[in-house]
Amino acid sequence: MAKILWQGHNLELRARSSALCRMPDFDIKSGERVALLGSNRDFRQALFRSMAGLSAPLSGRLSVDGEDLPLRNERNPWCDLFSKKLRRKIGVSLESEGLLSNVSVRESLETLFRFKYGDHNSGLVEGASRVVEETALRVGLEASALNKRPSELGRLELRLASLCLAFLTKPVILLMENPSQGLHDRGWQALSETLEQILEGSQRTLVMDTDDWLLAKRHASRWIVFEGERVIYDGSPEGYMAQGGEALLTELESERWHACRAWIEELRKNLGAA
Amino acid sequence: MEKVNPSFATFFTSFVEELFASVVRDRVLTRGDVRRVIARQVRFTGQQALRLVAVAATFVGLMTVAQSAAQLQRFGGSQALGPLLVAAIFRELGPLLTALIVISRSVSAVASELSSMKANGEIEMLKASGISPLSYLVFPRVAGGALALTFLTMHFVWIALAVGFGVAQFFVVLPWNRFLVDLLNALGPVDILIFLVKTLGTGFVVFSLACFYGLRISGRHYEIPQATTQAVVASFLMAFGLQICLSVIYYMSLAQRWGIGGLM
Repeated sequence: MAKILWQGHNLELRARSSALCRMPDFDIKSGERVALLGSNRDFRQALFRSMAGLSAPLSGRLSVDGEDLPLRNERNPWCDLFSKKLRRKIGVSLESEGLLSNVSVRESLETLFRFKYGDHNSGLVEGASRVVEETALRVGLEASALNKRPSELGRLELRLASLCLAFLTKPVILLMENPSQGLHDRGWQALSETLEQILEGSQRTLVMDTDDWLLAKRHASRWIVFEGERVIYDGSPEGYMAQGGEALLTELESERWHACRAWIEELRKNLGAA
Repeated sequence: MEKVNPSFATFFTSFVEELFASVVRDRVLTRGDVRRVIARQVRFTGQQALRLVAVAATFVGLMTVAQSAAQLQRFGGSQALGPLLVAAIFRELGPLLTALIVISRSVSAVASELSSMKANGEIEMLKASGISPLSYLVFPRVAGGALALTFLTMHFVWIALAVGFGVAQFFVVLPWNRFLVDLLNALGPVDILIFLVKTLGTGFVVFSLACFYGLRISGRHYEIPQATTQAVVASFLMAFGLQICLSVIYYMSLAQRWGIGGLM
């Protein structure tokens, strides 16, 4: 039986918009691929941020891999809610990417890697550059992008750099916040393929907070759908579609692929003209 | 770092406590990355402000001697110059004016830098990566800023004293070696202790406030100028308050030593 990674009981969370979110009890098991979906962004985001140890609950109990998260107090904003051991197991890719803006992506990733493991471990420090290059290659981030500053990167490159940061420590749990936000069709396709590649055959747990139902359909086997102040669905994507959600998916899918096809045709036409 | 309800004092105290805890826990001084950030902060706050401080020190040295020239001549002049400059520049004006320059120049920069990082999600990313922003961002800025403020104040003091000595030549006959002896006689170990406490203490407080206000925003860009203004205002008040308190303590102990404790 799979181990329970996250367990929430009587949880009350504060969303970034200051809204109070009362969560239904839930648990997520090791190896599950979960998508948090639905129209209530506050709820999804509040839950995601607590699961990533970025925000402490107001009340209730949220345990992560057996560790109970402390409730909100004046110390929380300044310290890490997770233990170092737990933090190393979790890779987080945030919507805002958050790479250090005043240095190159390579420097940013290497610094963060070194800081996470400590200078005293000389073997790791020397290997920081190699680890960053290997991870970048794995997530499909070009070497030239590593030498640029975040402000010089395109949207897809930023997403891949963020994914690279999440993967630096080879985490067993991957948390992704709106991974496809702002991506055009080619970018979306590339990200989706990268995700498929890095998740394939692994027992890695994935939790994504997303508006992108198509991405969720491709990569998540469990959907938790929020609407208003409640969870309206918790189960497989097929179950949701059987309840009448297929129409929405079909529409989204056709829109995205239609746009992609149009782009390919235009490219072909241009090439032919040249 | 979301906003929470406790009072400012509780919030700031927990910030300072957590800063010390993270410094010990993460052994930050053993980390090359942190040392590099400290060096960068010293360069920005200290080295790049040398000329500005030199100009201010020149003006202060000049004005202090020019304004007291009449008194110098009336009361035997040259002997009083050393103690006067020590009292005015070393104990009071040097630490205070340098702190004001550093607050205007660097505290505002640190507050806006950290609040921009917060708004861009960089702080959240550090936290999500298990890196304490206090160890990686705050400590190097506070340590570097306090060190730079101390060195800058020393820079201010020696220039103001040198200019003061130069200007005094127009009013009194004063050989440089005698001036130096008078100066050293007027300068006691307590003066040096107070000087270090004033500069390092002010540096620690004002840069902690800069980081605190910078990191306290909820993450919206329009909060950046507000955080910067709050940091600068609070730093000005704290710098004045701290230096007044230390001066009062110093002069009270001096009055007791001279047996005029009842006057204070």
